[in-house]
Amino acid sequence: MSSGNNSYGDIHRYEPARESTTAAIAIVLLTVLEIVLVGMFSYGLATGWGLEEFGNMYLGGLLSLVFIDLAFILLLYRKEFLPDVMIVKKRRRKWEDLYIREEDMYGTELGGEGAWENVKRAVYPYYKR
Amino acid sequence: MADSRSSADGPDEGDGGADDAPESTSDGSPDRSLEELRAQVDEKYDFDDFRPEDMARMTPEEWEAAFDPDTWITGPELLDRVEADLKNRVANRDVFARLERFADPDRVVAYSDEGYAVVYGDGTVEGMGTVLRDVKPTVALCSMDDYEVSDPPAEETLPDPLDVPEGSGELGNRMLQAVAGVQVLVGLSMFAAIPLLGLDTLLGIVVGTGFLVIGLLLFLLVANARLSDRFRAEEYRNRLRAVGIDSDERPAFLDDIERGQLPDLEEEGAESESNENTA
Repeated sequence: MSSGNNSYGDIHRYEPARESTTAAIAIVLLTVLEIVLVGMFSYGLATGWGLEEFGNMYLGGLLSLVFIDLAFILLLYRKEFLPDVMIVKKRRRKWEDLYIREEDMYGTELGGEGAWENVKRAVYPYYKR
Repeated sequence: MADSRSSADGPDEGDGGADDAPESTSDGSPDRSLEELRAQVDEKYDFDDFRPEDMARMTPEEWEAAFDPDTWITGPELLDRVEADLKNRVANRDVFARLERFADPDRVVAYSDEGYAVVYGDGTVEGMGTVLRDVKPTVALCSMDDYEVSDPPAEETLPDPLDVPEGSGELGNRMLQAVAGVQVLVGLSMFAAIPLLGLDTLLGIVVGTGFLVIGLLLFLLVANARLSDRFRAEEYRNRLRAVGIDSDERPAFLDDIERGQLPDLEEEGAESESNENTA
């Protein structure tokens, strides 16, 4: 139970991770690739590949591949290896709640006639209400 | 929102017909005058563009005339459909509730550990909490002719607390830890390469720190996932036990409902919302 007499934070749904075979194979392959790429990058950097032009570009490509690969690993992990949890939260006010009545759909008029009337009213205290 | 009859106050479309089913339709008035009144109402209001102002202008008699109870499913059939639909939705983990069917008056009760909803044959819904909010649209849908209710699963639909697994996704955790470990190693080796291989000092420090930070972040991610998983699984089990899945215990307020009283669970059934929250 959550904090006493309200239901916020209660677990509404808890589904264990899917862990499909495809995802398992994919994440293992990607992890191996990630390790290889990181190893190559660090080896190349330490032994001075980056000192000539082509090697420098090669290292840059390796580093970008490392991060792209990591992104895909995290994506798979999130989607397939974390439980699906839904909790009860407080619904906060949203813009949709603001003009809840149909006739307020377009807000209030503040252009053309209305604006000038407002100015007159502000300047001249005895102007017709 | 613990009111029983949802009036035309909220933006919940499709709630209008079922909840406002008239109590008695056989009032013995001659059909012809009803027909006339209905024709009048059709003339007076544009039902293709029916607005809240029109609703406010309508007199109860006009409403009675325009409202055709035969267009809605009511009575035991409605309750059967509601029960089936709710069973399906509980099975899909769309709704967290248990269902009971009480007789006299015939009604379907859906309850969880801190809320309940009672559905009567005329489409009235009473109750409080998230269960009420989840049940309302079901009742509205089931009262419509063209809404198909599929056959519900037979067995108890919420899982047994002992079946809630702990520590799923272990392979993913292992893989992420492997990646994190390699990143940390590489980060350290970058620092080591500065004196050993004559790597440029600034470059070595920057790259090494970068890899170290990434590795530690990944470790943190896995640790957090495991911890929160353990706590959440435990919390879900507790909630299932509170609803009485594994025992014959029922929340105390159920007996009140069975006797026909509506318990007030000493809390405001405030607007709350479930949000997807993974990770």
